[in-house]
Formats: sequence, C-alpha cells, structure tokens
Amino acid sequence: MQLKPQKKKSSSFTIIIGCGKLGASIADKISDSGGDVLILDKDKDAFRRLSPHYGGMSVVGDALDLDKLKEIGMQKAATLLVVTNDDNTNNMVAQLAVHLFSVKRVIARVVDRDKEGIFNSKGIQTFCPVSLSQERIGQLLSADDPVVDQIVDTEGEDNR
Amino acid sequence: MEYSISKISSVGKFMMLIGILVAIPLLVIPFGMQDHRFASSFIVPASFSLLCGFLLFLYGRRRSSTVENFGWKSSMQHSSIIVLFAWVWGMLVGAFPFFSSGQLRLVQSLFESISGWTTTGLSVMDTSTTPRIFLFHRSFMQFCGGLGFVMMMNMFIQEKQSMRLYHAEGHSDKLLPNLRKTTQLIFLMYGGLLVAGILLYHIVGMNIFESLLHAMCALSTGGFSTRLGSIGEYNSLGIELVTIILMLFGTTNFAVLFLIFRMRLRQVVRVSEVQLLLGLLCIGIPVFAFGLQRSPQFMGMESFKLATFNVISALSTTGYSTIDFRGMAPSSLGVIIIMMLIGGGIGSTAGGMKLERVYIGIKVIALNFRTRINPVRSIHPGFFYKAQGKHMIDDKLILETTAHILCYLSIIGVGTILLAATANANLLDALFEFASAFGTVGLSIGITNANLGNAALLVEMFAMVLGRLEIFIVFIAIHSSIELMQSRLQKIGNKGFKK
Repeated sequence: MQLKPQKKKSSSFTIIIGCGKLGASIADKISDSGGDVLILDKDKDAFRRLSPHYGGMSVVGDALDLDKLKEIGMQKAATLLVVTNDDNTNNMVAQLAVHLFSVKRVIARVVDRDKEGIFNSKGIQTFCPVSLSQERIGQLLSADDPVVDQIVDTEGEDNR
Repeated sequence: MEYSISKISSVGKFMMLIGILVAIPLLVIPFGMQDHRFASSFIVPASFSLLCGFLLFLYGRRRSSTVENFGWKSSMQHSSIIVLFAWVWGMLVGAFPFFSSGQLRLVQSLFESISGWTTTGLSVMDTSTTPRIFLFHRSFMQFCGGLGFVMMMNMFIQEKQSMRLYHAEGHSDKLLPNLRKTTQLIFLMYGGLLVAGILLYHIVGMNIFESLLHAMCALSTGGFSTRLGSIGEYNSLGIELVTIILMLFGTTNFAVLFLIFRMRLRQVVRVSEVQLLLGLLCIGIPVFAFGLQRSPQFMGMESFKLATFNVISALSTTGYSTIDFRGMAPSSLGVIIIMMLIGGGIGSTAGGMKLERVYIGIKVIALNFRTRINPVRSIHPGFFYKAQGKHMIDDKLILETTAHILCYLSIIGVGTILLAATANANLLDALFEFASAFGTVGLSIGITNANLGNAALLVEMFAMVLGRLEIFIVFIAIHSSIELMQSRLQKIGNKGFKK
C-alpha cells in the first residue's frame, strides 16, 4: 500500500514525448511513484510498451503540432522529456517548450552527437545515449580485473 | 516483464470498504423515529465485513513481504477475480440487512441488494411500508454501485495494480494524468451534481429525505423510488424536469462531463456518443408518443411529456417511470426495449450495450456497405469522436465491439426464453423485463413483484450482474478461477503422488 503522495510532489506535471523503451519506462516510474505524467506518441501501438499499471495519460498525436501541445497542457508542465529518436523533432519540440510554453526544465535526447551543440545553445539539458554508452564501456575496459557478474545497465535509469 | 500483485490484501481492503459502506445507513437513525430497532441488522454485517477484511489484509500483508510475481496473463486473471469477488461480496453483505430484519425472503433480499449495487432499480419491496433506513440503504447502494467499488477504492489509495482493476471494472477513461486524481475528480463532479440535485428537488417541492434518495438514484441511473408509482406519483412537472436533467448527467461519460464542466461545449457536441444520444431521442420520443395516442387519455402534449420522460429514463438506463407499461401499444414498447438495449454512455454509470459501441456498430455497417459498392483496392477509414479526440475505427476495435454486441444479443435471446419459462409470462413481457434487468434499467412491465418465484428472480439477478460488469469480465473471472483451481489441485496431486 502506498500512502498519499505529498502535495509538493504531485503538483509537478511531467510530459514525455515519444513512447519508446526509454520514454515508456520513465513514464511507468513516475506513475508508480504517484506523480502526474502524460506521454505523447504519434503511433497508437507504441503505448503497449507501457506497463498495464500505468495510471497516467497517453495521447496519440504529433508533437510538432502546436495545437496538440496546447491541448495536452504543455503550459502546465514542470518538466518535459523529449525522447523520440529523431533529432530534428527533439530539437524543435524542446525549443517550442522553452520559448512558447516556458517550461522550467526541458531534457532532450540527442541521437547524433554532432548536433549536441544546437541543443545546448538554447538552454536545453541534453543527454546522448551514445556518449553515455561509450563512457560506460570505457570504464569497463579500463577496470583492471574484469568482474564477472557486473551488468551494463541499459535500462536508462542512469540517464536521468 | 513481471507484474507484482498482492491479491489477498486488496481483497481485504475491498471487504473493509464494503463494511464501511453498509454501515453508512446508520447515519439515518438520528433523524428517523423508530429506525433504531433495525440498527443491529446493519451493524452485524458491517462489522463482520470489516473484521474479515482486516484479518485478510493483515494476513495478505505478511505474505506480501515475499512479493508474488505473476506473468501478464495471470495478473489480468487475478484482477478480474478480485473485481468479481468484491462485487459478489458486496451483494451478499448488502443483502444481509433486508434478510436479518425479516423484511424479505433470502432470495428476495439478494435480489434487492443486487438490484441496488448494479444500479438496476427493479424492486420486490413494498416501499410504502418499508422503514426509512432500508430505503436509504437501497438508494445508497445504487449511488456507490454507480461509481463502482474499484473507483471508490482508488479515491483513497493507489497501488500498483489499481490501474488493472480500474480497467477490469469497465472504466475506460483517464481525465487527469494521475489515476488517483482522476477518481477524485470524478467523485467531486458526482458529489457536486448530487448536492445540486438535492437542492433542485427540494426547490420543486420534495422533502429533504426523498430528494436525497431520488437524487442519488437518478444520478447513478439507478431508479429506486420511495413511492410505489415511482416519479409518476408526484405528478409534478418540476420534479420530472429535475429527474430528466439528473438522468442525462448520469448517463454521460465522465470525460464528456468534465468537458461540460469546463464549458468546452463545442467539443461536447462533436462527441459521437452525444450525437447518437440526441439522435435517438429525436426519433424515439415521437414514435413512443404516437404509440400512446391510440388510447384516448393521452392526447396531444400530454403524450409528448410522458414520452420524453420515459424514453430518456429507458435510454439512460435509470428506470424511473411516469406511466404504466402494461397493455401499451407494441410500437411504444418496442421503442422502450430498443432504448434499454442500447443504454447510456460508455464509462458512465449507465448500463446497456453503450452508445459508443452502437455508434461503432452503425459505422461498421456503413463501411462494409461502402467497401462492397466500391473498387476492391479503395480504402475507407472510419472515425469516431470521443471526449479525448478523434479515433480511428481499426480492426481490433471492430472485433471487440462486434463481439460485445453479439454476445449481448445472444444473452438477451437466451435470457428472454429462460425468464418467460420461469416467470410464466408471454415472450414480449419477458423480453421487456429481461432487457430491463440486463441493461440495469429497472423499468418493469409487472413481472417483477413481491410474488415472483425464486427461479425467475435468479435469472434476473444473473442478468443484472452480467449487465453491470460488462459480460466478459464475469466470464473471464469464472474461467480463471476454474483454471487456477485446477492448477492448485494438480500441484497438490503431484505432491501427494511424490510422497
């Protein structure tokens, strides 16, 4: 049994764009901990990645559609996570969120590392799965003794 | 992927919730003169349910320290079993007060309780002599039954499997990005409408007690009345108007209701369900009225007034009536039966096949026609509007909807014959009464009364449960309990064999 989530926590509304493996798992986590979460994806079938316990909203729609962003209440969001696999989409949605909806915290995924500069210049926090994986692999390789039962964490929790 | 579920402790929680709900009619005692004699028949089942629930809850918590993990399939099966169990338990506990106080026979009290929780409103009680506390108990059961146990539970606590249970009980909508807030919002709207309903009833001249009871039952599309002649006995235009408004609100999908409250009226009009509702009323009311005109006592405007009230009552699956259906023209009865079959909005408190499914059904017929007259390679996508926006009618949806409609109609066919046989009635009357029970409506053509035999009551009880829980979940739950039982037995058998 989970007790009532605290008022402070529940007032933070998170919007996630892109219901891939990463987006879905983060949405599940937030929903499980009692937070408000909405996930948007173009493809209706993408939502099957969400766990059946997911209690937030899932909306079908194009994130580049300004009306859609208004409809899902982007102006009320405290956090925006843009995790589609297309850099152009990620960049544009993140910029819209910062400039038009003045969302406080915008985190975007960068697929192509060369484009990271475009994101950062606009005051958007980014992460790049390739760099993170590279770092981790580097760590593993540089370790003196290979530890047998150490597992690379690809679930995405470290990325948050 | 694994899903954890704490089955026993959540069953315990449901039992505690039901215990509390059954204890609530005790609040009427300070206002009633002679009702305190019946206090014990409420205290006993309530405390029994609370105690059992609490013990199970403790037992389940201790066990759940070793969290049980099930695969997807059995997680779904467990949630349907939990939902069905909660409802059956509620029905048993709810029946106890009627029985233990000697108001009704055993089967009759079960019938009354089921009719309450499922928001049907068929009654075997003589309301003119029944003490007030029982009248309140009935109406309160309908009020809670309209929301559903899972919905009430989610208001207080949210846990991992609440979403599954929420779906299993047939709620389809999420209004806010958080399940607990969604249920709280629904309860807030429901409660607000209740208060408004009580005030309106009181203004048009009902006493406070009766306005409370009628508002609860109209809003949950239940239909228990404190009078034998239902709403018709008041013979007041004001009361009928208030009832119509409450019934329409009750039959509206919660998501649409939320749009109405936010004054997004243009979006509301676009929703397919709302369009179908209005369309059906436009056709149904005149047909019903013309059927009435055959007899001389209902002429002109009078027949339209009666038609408006009773057709809305049938379509919203409420079951308040201002007219006696016995000996009515077949065309009028036909309209009422069709309305009862179609029923109210999906994800509301209403029963029946639900407007959305019927709308999709009509669309599918149109699409099928279009594919037949057009070249083979042309595509014809179908759409419909929900409160959340435009939805495409894809193959999966078509399959689910047609399966549901077919299942509904076949049960109607079988049930009608069963009821006709057990109640010794003619086929039209049996169809009317069965459709009324199955759609959780509660209009009666006179078959259901205090003298009805047990077999017919059982048929109607089964219909009401199936109708409220949307058919499939009952079958899934029964199927899964048999399957689980078999696997348990097999395990025990294997162990015995090894020894």
